Amino acid sequence: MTTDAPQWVRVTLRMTRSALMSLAWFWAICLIAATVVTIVLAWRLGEPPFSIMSTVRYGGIWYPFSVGLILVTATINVHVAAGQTRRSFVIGSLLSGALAGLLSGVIMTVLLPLEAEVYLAQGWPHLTTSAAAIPEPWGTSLLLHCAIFVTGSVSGVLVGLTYYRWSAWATLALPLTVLAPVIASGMDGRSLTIAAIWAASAVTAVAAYVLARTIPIRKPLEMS
Amino acid sequence: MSGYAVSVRDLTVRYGRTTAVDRVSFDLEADGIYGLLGRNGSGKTSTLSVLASLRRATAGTVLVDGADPFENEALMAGIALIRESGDVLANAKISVNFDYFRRVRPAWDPDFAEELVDVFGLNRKKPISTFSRGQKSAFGAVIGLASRAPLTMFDEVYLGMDAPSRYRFYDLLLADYAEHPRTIILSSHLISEIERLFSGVVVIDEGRLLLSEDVDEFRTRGATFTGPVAAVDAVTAGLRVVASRSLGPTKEVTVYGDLDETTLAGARSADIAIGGVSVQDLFVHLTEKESR
Repeated sequence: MTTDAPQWVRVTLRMTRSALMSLAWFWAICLIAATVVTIVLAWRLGEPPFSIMSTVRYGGIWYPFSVGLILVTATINVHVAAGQTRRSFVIGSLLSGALAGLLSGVIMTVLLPLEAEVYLAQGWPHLTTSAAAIPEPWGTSLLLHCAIFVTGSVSGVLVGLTYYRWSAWATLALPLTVLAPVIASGMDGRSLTIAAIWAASAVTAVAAYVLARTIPIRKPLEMS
Repeated sequence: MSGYAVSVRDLTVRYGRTTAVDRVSFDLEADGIYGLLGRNGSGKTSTLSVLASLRRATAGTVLVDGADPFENEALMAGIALIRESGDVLANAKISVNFDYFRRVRPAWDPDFAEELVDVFGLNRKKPISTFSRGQKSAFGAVIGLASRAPLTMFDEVYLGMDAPSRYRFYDLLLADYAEHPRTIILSSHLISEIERLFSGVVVIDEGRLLLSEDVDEFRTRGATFTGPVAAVDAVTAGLRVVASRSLGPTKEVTVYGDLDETTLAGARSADIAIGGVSVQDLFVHLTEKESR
């Protein structure tokens, strides 16, 4: 990428590289853990009582959430003090998180039916709780899982910004700033719910963008 | 490379009910080393933060190279504010930080950066967060110097360094400025060490501008008389004494204000040496409450 590209493009590419690295670790750990847990449960109980992979979806919300939050609070001062705009920072944070989220959504949409095939081959039921069902058809599943993985990241960026801006007072805004991932936690595959998650995520992203554009850059925390 | 000119008009910065900077105006020509002087809490950091786009002015305008720097992509890339506690990737090593700054600072000089690391004796194998306060300050100085930004500002960054490192920093700054002229602002309340670097000074106190002028002009606001104690006392009687030092039979007195020809002639006839006033002495005098 040449330095002629707009700053937000360069920043987004740089952040996306980091996000994909983080994503690779997330999925590597999840796949190893899911395999081990499945084997242990099958050995101890005869069969896994529920889909292990479907529980990974909760990690898919809150892991990107924490990454987005840490990204903002730890690096926005470095980014702006190094002569880059808040605009490129917030666009890069949101887009890189969203791109990684979409990729994870695709991975989850593929892995769940694969897991179901394995369970079927072993004669195990492939169950989730009714609220956390795996929606059909696959297009709905893709929309739900992309929404789940995107919303955590976007919300993490907004929560990080509110805490950076207002410190502990930002806690008062949590009912609004984490609304999207809370809706997503229901894992409800109804079209209306999926649309609500996407809409809440879009509003969250716009709020993060608006807040970031004028945010004062404080003195960095004293390094230990 | 050329530095950026700075124009500040009626700059006001408020934090809630506290006014940190109150209608401050000054101009700095491109290519010069300027001292932004003020006591602790005088508004220096707030002023620099607005120049560096780290925060927005509550009121007033700030122009860097003729344009508002806030969220201005092209301008911000050429403005560097180095703060003492450091805006760096604290958990990363020097090489990772250099790679980052190389990507974002258009005039970054990688060879100079490596040379500076050797000069300050910084450990390349450890993350910045494990450095001592002085080493962190030195690393900030490295980033500021190697960035070669057309507007480079150091906000008390050298206070954490030990004396040899500070003098090394001043020498490096001056040498690099001679080779790559740009606009440099040094903010400090410890002036004696750095006043030789200045081409101009801006003094603010309690958020208000006291003066902004060329350093030679600033020094003519007073004079220093050095000679025998009795003679110096006689000449300076009735003048506004800013500082006084005695060493055996010799005394040095710094006075503030315009001096008439009679006083100067009297001093010369008494074999008293007349010199310029130190920026530090004048600064202390100007920022003392009873002097205003």
